[in-house]
Amino acid sequence: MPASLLKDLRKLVGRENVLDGIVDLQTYEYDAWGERSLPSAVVFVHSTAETAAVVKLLAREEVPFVPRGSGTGVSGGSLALDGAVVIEMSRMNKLLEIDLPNLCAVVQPGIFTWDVSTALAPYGYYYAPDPASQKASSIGGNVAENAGGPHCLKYGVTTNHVLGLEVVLPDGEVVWLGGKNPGPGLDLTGVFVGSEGTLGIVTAAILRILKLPETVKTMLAVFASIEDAGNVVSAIVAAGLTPATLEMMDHRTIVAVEDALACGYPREAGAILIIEVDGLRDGMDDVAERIAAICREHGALEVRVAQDEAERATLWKGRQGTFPSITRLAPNYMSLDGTVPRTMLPEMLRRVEALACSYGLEVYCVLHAGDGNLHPCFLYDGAKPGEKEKVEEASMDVLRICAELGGTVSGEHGIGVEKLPAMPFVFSDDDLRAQGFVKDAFDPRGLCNPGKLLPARETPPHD
Amino acid sequence: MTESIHGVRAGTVECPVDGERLTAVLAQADADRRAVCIAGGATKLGWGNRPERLDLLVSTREMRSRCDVDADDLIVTASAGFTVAEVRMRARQAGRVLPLDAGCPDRATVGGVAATGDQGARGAGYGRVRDLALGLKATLADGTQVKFGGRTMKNVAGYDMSKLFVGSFGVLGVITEVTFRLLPRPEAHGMLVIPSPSFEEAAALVARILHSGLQPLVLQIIPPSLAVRPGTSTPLTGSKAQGECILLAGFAGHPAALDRSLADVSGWSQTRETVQLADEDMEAILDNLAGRGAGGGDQAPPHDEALVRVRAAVPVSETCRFADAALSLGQVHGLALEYQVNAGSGIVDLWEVDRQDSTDRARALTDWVVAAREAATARGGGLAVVAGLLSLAAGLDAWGETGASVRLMKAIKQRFDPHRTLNPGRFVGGI
Repeated sequence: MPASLLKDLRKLVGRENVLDGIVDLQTYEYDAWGERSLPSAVVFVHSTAETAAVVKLLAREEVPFVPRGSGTGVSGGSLALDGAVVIEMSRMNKLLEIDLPNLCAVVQPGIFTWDVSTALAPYGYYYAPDPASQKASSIGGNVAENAGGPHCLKYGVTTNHVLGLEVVLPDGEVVWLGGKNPGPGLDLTGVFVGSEGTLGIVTAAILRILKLPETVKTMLAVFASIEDAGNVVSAIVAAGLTPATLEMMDHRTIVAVEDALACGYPREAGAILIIEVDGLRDGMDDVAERIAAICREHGALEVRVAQDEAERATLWKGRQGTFPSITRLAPNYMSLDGTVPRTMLPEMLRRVEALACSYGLEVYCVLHAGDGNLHPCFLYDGAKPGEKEKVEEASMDVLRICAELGGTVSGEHGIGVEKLPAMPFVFSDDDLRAQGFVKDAFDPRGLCNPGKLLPARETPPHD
Repeated sequence: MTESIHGVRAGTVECPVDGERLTAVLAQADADRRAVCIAGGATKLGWGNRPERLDLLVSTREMRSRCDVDADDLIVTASAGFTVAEVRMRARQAGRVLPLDAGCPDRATVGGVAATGDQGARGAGYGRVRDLALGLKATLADGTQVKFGGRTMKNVAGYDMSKLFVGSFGVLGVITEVTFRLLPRPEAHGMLVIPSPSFEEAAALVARILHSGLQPLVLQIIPPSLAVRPGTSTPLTGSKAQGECILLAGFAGHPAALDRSLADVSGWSQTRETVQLADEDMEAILDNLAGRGAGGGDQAPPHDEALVRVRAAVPVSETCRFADAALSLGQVHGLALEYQVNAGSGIVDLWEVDRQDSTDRARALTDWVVAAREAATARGGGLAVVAGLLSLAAGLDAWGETGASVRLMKAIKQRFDPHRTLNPGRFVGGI
């Protein structure tokens, strides 16, 4: 990076808020995906005005930039490609307003997802989307990735809970998209959520908040086979019941979690479901009993209802600790997040297992089964020649099957860099070109988080 | 079907039966630089500004190649031309609910509802159309056929183009097929009819419900004149006092949860004149109301003569205060107005009751629209004219100001439709 630009950046945000030393830069050269790419500088911003000033300067100098929250993204979305400057948003972490009468909260992008609900809890409210990384992930990142989580089945994903956004556009202009109940116009908030930082930088978000449920019931259902569990998922939803969560784990995952966390899952089970229902207490026992009955009809070996908060926490501890429990077993892993219509889950799981066998790989499956969203995780040793390539090939095969079964290649992790090759599985050239119109409209010079979400186009953007 | 929009006549009307035919029609029009306006069931042609140009009116109502309800996956995929009522019926036959409560469901098409985002009283529980459309197919101005989203709730592959197209009023492309989420059919329904002496008192009860943890399906405030059994003048409250306004508080779900909800709300309401409606009455009344709001009603063609109607959106806690203010402003301007207030969604529909053929009508209505729009904007919302634009002063924009983000909307429009072929000038900011 030219010394003059560094100097100008430091003038804008202060000397201590611009990093360019190699060791510092290496700290920011990767996210939770694992691949690396060195940024040309890291700039910490503390306000909307600072963010706008930094973006304006970089745009003037035609230097690409990428917003970064907590770096917990798993598809490489915050990787700084093409010598991009990382704009670090974590210092903008304030809760700006709790507006109970309008059932919303206004937050800065760097706030941890979990902290939003923690701040709302004393008032009896919470923010629904709960990605597994919620204690470390930021709202800005959640907005960029349209993050999901186990409770999406009933409550929807991030986009269903974002009412408005203050955004610094790629030319440095600040605009509000949406609002607490905005007037008419194109739904720019809707297209910005999930845009993976390629359309601009979120500097504030208006989030919909919900009343904490009066009661929550959590149960564990144990099955001999993953197919039985998969059939139950469809049966529960088909019976007109809408649990808050329907989470599934396969046998290998259960063993890995028990080895790591000992949370009382039956090690011999073929699969387990963690089912949670919430809402008014009236009728809840009946709903829980009906779900248990469906589980038993479909061959559940055991259905256990958590009797108190401690037991409930233990059941969830295993689910929330699934990823670390698996990934500690090998030097490297590849986890996917393809989604299929939920009735296709049993077939999907069968095909994933067969595919893993054919590649000679072990696959661990944990699923947001109610949403048809599966996380097959392949373990491997990247030091062994050819292993990584084999896993990458298998992964693309998995995503191809998701598309074949009427699903999609990413349910919540985003395309980032990781899944660019999979985009043609679900989109035609024309579909992708139309998506490119949106990118061109927001960022005609292609400076904002280059190399993400859309495969490179042969034709240059027209403007 | 009418061939004119706000007095601008189309030379030709086309009703393509499938995407291929639509592609041919649009590609030709785009190449010839002819302007195309789009209709579904033509129930909302009164929305929006006068088209800048209009050569061809394209209706999607004959596009009816598929309507597939997938009961187990809780989705329906329907071609644009199916009416809301038809899809609703098919979902019901499969034991599911189509969560769309558009005006004029017998004529409004699912394509049109997706393009306008129209949602009625039950939207308080169902949510916004943009959150219910999981994927769609569209044909762009140059005839290119595209598809976005899919059949699953979770889908983050690429930009969320379905959100961009839902409510885009046909300025980016013609929606030809939509996949909507379905809901399980609730085991029980119930609705209370609660007379209230003032908006303020109704608002207090609404706030209590919204912050109670109960899950209302309907929180609609209507005038006594609308609180009648459909097709009659029998008040819903029977012989009891009507009050200044009537709150309809509807719930659906598990019978025990329903009983609890109705009991709680009855207890909180300060009147003893609350009436509980049976299931079928609830449905008939809500269907009737859906035809009386901004999404439909007496807007049968020709629209050019229609009475003025507006739809405002404000933050939910401001809903009743805004409605009260807008009605007072109407009195100031000597207007006889009726209203529906969706207190769960922050949507307020207001309309002229009688056409007054005085010379001052246009001026009074225009002044009122401007003042009511200011009242909505000051609260962080907005107000759109959805019928009777020709009765207002020329130059009054149907949508109002859109703020700084309008430049992005124009930039998006420019990429999707560089020749301004589709609905030119009809939507916000003249796009």
